[in-house]
Amino acid sequence: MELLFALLAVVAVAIFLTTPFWVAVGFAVVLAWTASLLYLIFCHPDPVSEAVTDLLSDE
Amino acid sequence: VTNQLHDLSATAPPAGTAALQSDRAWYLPTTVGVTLLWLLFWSGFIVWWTLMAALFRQGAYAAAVIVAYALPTLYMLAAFIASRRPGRAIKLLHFGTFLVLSVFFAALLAFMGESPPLNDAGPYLGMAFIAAVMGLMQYPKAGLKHYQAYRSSLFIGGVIFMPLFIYFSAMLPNVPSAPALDKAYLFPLGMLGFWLSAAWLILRATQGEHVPGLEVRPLLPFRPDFILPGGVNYVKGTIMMGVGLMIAIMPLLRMPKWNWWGFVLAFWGIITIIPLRGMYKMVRGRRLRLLGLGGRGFRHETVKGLILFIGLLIMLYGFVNAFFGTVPFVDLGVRPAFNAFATGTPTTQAVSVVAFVLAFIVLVPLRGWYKTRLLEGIETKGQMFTSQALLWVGTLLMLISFVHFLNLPPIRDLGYMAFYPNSNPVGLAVGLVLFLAGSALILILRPIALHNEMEATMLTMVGVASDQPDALRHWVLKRRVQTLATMPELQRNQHVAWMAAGLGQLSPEKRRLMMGTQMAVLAEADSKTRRQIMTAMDQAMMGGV
Repeated sequence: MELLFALLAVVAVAIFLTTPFWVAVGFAVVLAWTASLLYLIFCHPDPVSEAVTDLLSDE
Repeated sequence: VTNQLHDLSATAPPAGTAALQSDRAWYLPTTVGVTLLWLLFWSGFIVWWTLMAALFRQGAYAAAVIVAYALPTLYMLAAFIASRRPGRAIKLLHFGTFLVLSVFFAALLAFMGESPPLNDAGPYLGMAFIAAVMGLMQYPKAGLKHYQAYRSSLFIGGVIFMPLFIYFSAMLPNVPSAPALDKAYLFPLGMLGFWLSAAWLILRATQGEHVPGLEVRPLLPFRPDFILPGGVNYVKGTIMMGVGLMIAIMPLLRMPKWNWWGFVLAFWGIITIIPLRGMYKMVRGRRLRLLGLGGRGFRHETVKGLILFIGLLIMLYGFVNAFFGTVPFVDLGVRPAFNAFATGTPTTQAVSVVAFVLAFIVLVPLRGWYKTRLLEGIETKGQMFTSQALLWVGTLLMLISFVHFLNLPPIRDLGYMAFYPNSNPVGLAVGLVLFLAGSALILILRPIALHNEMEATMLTMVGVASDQPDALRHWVLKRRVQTLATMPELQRNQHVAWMAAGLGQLSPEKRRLMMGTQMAVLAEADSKTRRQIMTAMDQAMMGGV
């Protein structure tokens, strides 16, 4: 996940360096949306992963 | 392939244990492998694009179209040939074919004295994104021996035809707009491959079988083939509907232009709609539902609808810019001429607002509510069609809202969208064909793709469970039996039939393991649950549902 977030940051920097200010701001909002979705899917507590971790740590 | 898989699944270590014990062990090789593939695809796409653009500029249209189709067609053919032959190295044939073609195209470019233009970062960023998706989806994470068991030729073909966007980017700015008829046949010619490569993804052979070593989270294998077909049919259907509508409503024949920054933005809309929404559906929906841990109800469907709605907003704004030849956030919606609320008529403003609100209502609460009424896995054809019809109506309303809100030139005279069969018969015909072809992807083909994705997920789940350590496998089957017991009989029978089919794909050792766990779980269950499951298993063995 850290890798994906780092890649998004690289993309954001590349866009900031190559486009006018308001274009870059527009893209920044879209990239922030993508990052928040990634967080929601993979970093937010997930009942299956939590149950599996608990189960295997009990073993 | 199934027999080979039996060998593999019998000898492979429990993938779940491995994945959990060294959660990040696969990060490094995967990162290196995907990066190498990304470089291969990125450099190849740049050469391919430059060659096509040069040929279009020189008026060699036939040669440009041949170059456009040669790359994905030969690539897919190589993948198909490799799928018919044993051995590991042969599985790299499609990547090798791509490399050879790229070198050949580069040699042709050198011979022609052409080189990639360096005046804009947009194309390089756009193609870098496409290449990243190519690399991620085709990287052989579970090894080469059974590569085509989890990345089928049809899937590989569907993936490699997606970059036909590059054909449009090479053709649209380099073919003169007069005579307009040139673009009027060259554009649909590119759309043909675009459409076909979405259509064949509905075939059942697109989805591969279970192969150990694909887990990225507990009980979650990385299977883009379970997400891509439905997503691609929707995204391509929407693009074809949108671009068809834009061509059809022109008073005179005008074909689209191209701007790479529009595509760069649209790409993130596609990413929202296909992989991110697809993974949300898997991680937060189906995986929880199958184990009875949530992932259902109006709230869940609303979140899915919102992700779709926002993704659609991003994608449509990006593609309107791409095909209008403008940079996003600069002209369309920003300059007064391209904003109905600055220079549009009250009718234009009203249509844009009403269509937008209706699109939201249809796509988020209405469709979300409708989907809570369906029983997963046993939806009737009518129900599946209705769900897609709501999606189609919501998407069309959104397109109408965009066209009016952006106060596009054909809207300005009348204040609303209209068709001009007398002054633009060719545009109307071309636009209508594209619109109907896109609609067919959403309304007719997508339901079939979604059904196949569901079936493949269910079959594979058995294999994923069989790879787990004893305690986890027992827990999964226990949760599954409890969940099945709460289902209506018809739905339970269908799910058990799929599980039985998944069991049949395992090696004898893995199958025995799963049967043993299943018996232990059933022995622990109450008599009513046990009877329900045994009845469903009897039905499955009799071959009925």
